[in-house]
Amino acid sequence: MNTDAERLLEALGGVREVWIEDAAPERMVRRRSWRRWIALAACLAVVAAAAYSGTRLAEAWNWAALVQNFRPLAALEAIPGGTPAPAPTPVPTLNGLPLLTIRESGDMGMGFEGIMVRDVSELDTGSPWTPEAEVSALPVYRNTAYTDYMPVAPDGGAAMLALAEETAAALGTEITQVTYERVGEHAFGTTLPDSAVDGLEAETPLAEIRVDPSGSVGIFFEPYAALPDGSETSSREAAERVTDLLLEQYADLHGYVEPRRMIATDYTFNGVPITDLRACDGAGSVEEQMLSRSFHRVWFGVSEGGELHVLWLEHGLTYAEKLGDYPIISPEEAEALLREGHFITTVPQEEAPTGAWPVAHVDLVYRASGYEEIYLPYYKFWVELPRNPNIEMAEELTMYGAYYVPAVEGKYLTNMPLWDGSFN
Amino acid sequence: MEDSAIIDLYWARADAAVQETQRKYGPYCHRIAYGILASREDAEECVNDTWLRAWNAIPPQRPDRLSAFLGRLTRNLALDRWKRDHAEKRGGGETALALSELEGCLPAANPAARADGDGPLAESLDRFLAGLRREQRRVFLMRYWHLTPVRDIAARTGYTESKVAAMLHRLRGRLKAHLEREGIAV
Repeated sequence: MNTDAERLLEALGGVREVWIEDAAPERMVRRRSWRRWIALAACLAVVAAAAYSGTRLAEAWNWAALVQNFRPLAALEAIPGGTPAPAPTPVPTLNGLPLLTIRESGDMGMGFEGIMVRDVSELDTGSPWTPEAEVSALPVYRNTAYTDYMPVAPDGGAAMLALAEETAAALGTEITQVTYERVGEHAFGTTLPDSAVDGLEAETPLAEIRVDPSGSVGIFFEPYAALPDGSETSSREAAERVTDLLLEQYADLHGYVEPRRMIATDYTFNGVPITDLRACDGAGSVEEQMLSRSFHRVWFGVSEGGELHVLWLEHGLTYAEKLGDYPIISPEEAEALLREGHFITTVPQEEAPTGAWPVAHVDLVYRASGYEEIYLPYYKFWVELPRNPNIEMAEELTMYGAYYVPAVEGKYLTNMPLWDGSFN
Repeated sequence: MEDSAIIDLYWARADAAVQETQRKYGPYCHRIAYGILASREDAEECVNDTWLRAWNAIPPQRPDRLSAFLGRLTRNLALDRWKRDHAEKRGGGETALALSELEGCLPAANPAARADGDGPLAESLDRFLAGLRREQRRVFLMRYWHLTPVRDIAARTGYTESKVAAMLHRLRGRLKAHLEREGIAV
């Protein structure tokens, strides 16, 4: 063994303590992916109304009611102690809709979005959208937590605290201590104020609740929540059973009218399956289900011992302002754009996908990790990648990379992506 | 119990200091030690040694971040033990795996490069890490400080395992380039 590597490993022991703490697995806050729903003002209005009237949170998360109750961003300015988001710079409009500029501060800067599966059918994770669905327009939102460094709460964390409190109540417990995470301890080379809030931790007797400015709420059970004997997720059928059980058990938390399972399977390089238990609300129109899938998805983390150790529930539009309903292109038009290089990807391939790279699956999703200034829909193409001789991968696996093409008609974009040969 | 109160117990040389430390940080330190040693018995001994080291260090020290202070003690003890136990045989476990990964990011030997102790290396690593975004730094340190398996990193971050592996691969490449630029010989 190379002792120089040992010296490197040991020298890492002396890095700054704040970084060590921040990277402790127990503290890891997941930031990303499954996207949020409910406009911020509507969310606050509903949460406040639920609190005052004693309405069940489950009822409060009714999509139709939230849409009806939507209020503009200006309502945030009334929150005591909050920092109102700056008024957006006036932008040109087209047909009454603001033109959109795609800007991401890029937590996806390293690594790529790929998946390894045994069969192409495993790329279908139960999305409410299919290419046959006739969706002509979808809402676009401005992320009011966006900065060019990382998401921070525009209201000092008030809405995040409300989410934590409602979550605790839905679990039948209460918060005993709240700690805010602030940018000052982590930010280097940014003009963000040290006091800006980029996370919240709330302790309860049942679990630790963590909230971030993307609206992600993570519930870390202490101890792990027991499941019925024999609960395991090694097969698709077993995963579905456990997901149904958990959806029923935590109905007060997610509030879905018609829970819709979204089971995803990825594999390790050795071919060991890893099953993700996810769900969204399957009630309402395709558009409503899509928004639930992107902005109000739930993920259950079940340990190998058959215990629930973490639950993530997205409230992705907690800090968002609706810009309008934008017409979208067809999947065929999007694939044509893909072939012309108009995509966003993190796949490190030297050539853009051509006809030789088959599209295995397409979905319609939002990119809304909190690191995007605008939450707009994209066609997500899973493209089969050539086998990489430098990566040892089980023979039965095929790797696919994700390519995103804006679904909004191009005339509403100021900067349609064009692949320049680099990857994010 | 708040960290400041625990530290006060150390300064007062109260027996309860170790008890409270164990209550609050026992699982945390055990996880660090187990991740390196892959043996519950060895990890337990390592954690017990940590309490002794902490008792001897506080006072005069008054750590700003008790979790990081204790974690570092445990990590160093566990790595020392791992090296001692594996002096003759190599391979297996997260420690060996992490070491083999880090080998790939070491710059080629440079006769003109500095090789005068770990101070410059540690300072260079600090500059490297400071230049990373928070999520990158977290993933890197989860792997190479906390020696967390890639699968667990994926579970904690929500990234796929393939993304975590690719991320670490690129970060190691950047580390190598950084060490080369700074003329650091490891």
